[in-house]
Amino acid sequence: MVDGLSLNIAQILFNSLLTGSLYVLAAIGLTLTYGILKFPNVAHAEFITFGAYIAYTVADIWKLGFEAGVLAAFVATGLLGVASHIFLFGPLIRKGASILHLTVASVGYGIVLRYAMQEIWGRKDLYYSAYYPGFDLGPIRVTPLWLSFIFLAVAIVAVFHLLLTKTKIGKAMRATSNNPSLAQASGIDTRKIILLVWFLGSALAGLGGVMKASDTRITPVLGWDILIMSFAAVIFGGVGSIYGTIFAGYTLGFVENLGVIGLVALKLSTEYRFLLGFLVLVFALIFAPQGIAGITFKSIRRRLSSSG
Amino acid sequence: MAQILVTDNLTKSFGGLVAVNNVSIQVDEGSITGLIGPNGSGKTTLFNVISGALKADSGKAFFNGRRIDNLPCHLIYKAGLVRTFQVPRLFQKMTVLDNMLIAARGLVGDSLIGTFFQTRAWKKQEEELVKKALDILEMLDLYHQRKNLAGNLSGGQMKLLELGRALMSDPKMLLLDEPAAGVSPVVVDKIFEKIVELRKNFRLTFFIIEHRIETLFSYTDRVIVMFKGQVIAEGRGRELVENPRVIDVYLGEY
Amino acid sequence: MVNIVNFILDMFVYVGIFGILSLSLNLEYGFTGLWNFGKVAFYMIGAYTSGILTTLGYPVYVGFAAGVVVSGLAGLMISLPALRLREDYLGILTLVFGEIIRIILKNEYWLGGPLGIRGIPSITPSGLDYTTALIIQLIAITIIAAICYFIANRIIHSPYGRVIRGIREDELATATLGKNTFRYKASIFSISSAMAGVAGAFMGQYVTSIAPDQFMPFISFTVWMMVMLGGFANIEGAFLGALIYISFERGARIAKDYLLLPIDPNNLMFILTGLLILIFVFFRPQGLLKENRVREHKGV
Repeated sequence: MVDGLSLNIAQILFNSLLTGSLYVLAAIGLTLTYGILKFPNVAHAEFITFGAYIAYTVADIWKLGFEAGVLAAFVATGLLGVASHIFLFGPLIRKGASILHLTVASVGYGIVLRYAMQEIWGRKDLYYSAYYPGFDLGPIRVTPLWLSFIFLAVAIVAVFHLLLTKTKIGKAMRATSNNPSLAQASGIDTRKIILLVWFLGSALAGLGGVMKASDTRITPVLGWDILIMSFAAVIFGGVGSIYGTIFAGYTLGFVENLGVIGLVALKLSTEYRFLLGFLVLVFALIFAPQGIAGITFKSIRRRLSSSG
Repeated sequence: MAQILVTDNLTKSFGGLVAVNNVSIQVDEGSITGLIGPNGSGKTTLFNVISGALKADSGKAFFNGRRIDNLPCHLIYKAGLVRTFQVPRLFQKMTVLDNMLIAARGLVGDSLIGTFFQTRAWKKQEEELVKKALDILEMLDLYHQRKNLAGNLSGGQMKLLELGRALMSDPKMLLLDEPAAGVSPVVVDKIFEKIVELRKNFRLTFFIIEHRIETLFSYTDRVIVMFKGQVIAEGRGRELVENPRVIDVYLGEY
Repeated sequence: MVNIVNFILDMFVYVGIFGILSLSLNLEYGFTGLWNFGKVAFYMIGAYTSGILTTLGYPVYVGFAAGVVVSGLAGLMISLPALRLREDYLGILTLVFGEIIRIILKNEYWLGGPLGIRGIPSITPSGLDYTTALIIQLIAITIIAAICYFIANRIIHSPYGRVIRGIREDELATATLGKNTFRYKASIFSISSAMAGVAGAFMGQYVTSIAPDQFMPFISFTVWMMVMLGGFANIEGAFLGALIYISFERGARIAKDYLLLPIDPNNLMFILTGLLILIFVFFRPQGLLKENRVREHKGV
């Protein structure tokens, strides 16, 4: 018996969709760069935060409106990602830096970004001025903002799917993600693909930042709060697999929201809902390191592998 | 003569490829047995499975009467079965001497407790091991390289060091994966003469993967031929040269 | 004048604490090749174990001993699932482990909750003047650091040290040479965790109150930066790296009072720190000091 709390399944599903969309946006970029360049980019947290701050500047300082802010966040964070590769990660990789050094570099880079942002925007919490009052859609409580973000996320997922399956560039992206050296050997300009991946992945992370900030507030540690869940989605879904990440992101969203119910019933702190995601990550690391994508597609890969 | 190594239908696959296909062999104690076959016939994989680097999908392996296919590789090493690698897996950044010392078995200093509470014991053991290592290095003409980093050795010297390292643990049987690959003909003979000497002096058993048919036939007692994961022939070198299946396999290859 | 003396004494106490943390990470990564991005977890466990026991009335040496043992056991416990993982996954797992511990401590009120543990008794008797107390603290941490240094030194110059270097370079080859590599990795991880625990226990009584949000992943990253600055696989380098980083940080704090900058010195300090790391990754990735050379064997 869950006392005092009616189980509004529809609301839980809606909230899961919302949380899941956030994790998907935040994690796609991470899984792509991790898959292609083989290192976990810790600075990705700062990309998420960056998007939120850019939207604030455009929407509330320059007063160009929230939609402009969202667009600006997308573009600016995308460019930040590209710049990160051109000026930092690319040169390091060409120098032959090890995965560890790339990871440590991303830590240092993250610190530079975080405190630069803190210098520009200060440490205090900021809020978007845009306000969209909630209303009831049947049994669910929604706001136009939430609906827009879910719609945006789903649209992006659909566009990505089309991109990956129907366009030449999309197929090149998949090939590079699966096996960068083989892709390069077959004539794909991997450098361009990598820059595209950095742009798209970071831009989406920036969008994720705006989404989370609009729901709570903008702080310098915004991205950090989501980063571990993003890693959870990446690894649980299978590093480098976009479809895996999408599946994992929504699953984690569901686990988290359903988990709140369980936690309340067990009279535990609701802060523990994040622990559920962390435990999924731990489970995935230990028992299923290749992720959902690895397990599902393993049989296909087995058939494709020829004699060694 | 006793059979020191026996395998019973060992099988190992990778995805759809069956690298080792129901291989059942016996190696006599104290023999120098050869293993040949074209590239991709599964020889190295067989060594990997026997030595524990890979786990077999099915089948059994016995060393000195003891079942080893379910043991991790460090226990197989401790049982006295040691393998070397085709491309030497030396510790490039360590000295030749340290490479030798790390291979020794049963060290007091190998555990943290021993390191801190039995200092005198392991220091004494180190001295003895250094002497033993230097003796082996001397025998292999590597004594003058003892302080050099292993990464700085020539190809042939690396092969000899691999062999020397394998001897540090007082093994009973050595699996040598192309012990003379990539070295000059003079060194090839040197290596194999050392092997014969070691067999005589220490009563070791050798199971050797080798590509050079002439070398193999001159130094081995018996040869096993593999092709596409299966054993297709075995016997003395001279007989195999006339075996139609063997000729087929090699003519097809070349 | 006294303020400057206290300032420097305090700084060196932290060099001692973080030097021990860097030493422990160096043993794990520098010598054995293990990616531990969750050093803060064991630091925290040591601080909390000792803090809780001493506030309950147990003597400080019991608290310290318990901190060491519990951290070491936590390290051993984590080893079981973690050490079989690929390196970067081990890094992520250890990072998450730290966060899990922190969130639990933050939400369990009987363990202190978000406010943490207060009033941790220090090793110095009350009533002493500040500078004298600091000197005693500094002597204590120096002794502890010296013990840890001695332990690390003995490890790396022993046959055991040879094996962990082998694991770092080629784990399969090491296993093929008869070493149970898991056992070695687990034991070095445990002893390093125990070292981090004693650093935590000491820190707890030094600052007398600890709270979960003092133990963010940033601390684990800071320790990585110190190891990188001082030099991988160099035990003196661990303390050098801590010294460099902490002087840098403290220097910036002073600059705030004496320089007029257009930019908040706190932010500037972190930005410069991040840049320093990037510079090192580009131009001196192995760190300042080279790997400790192993002692030569007698008569070779």
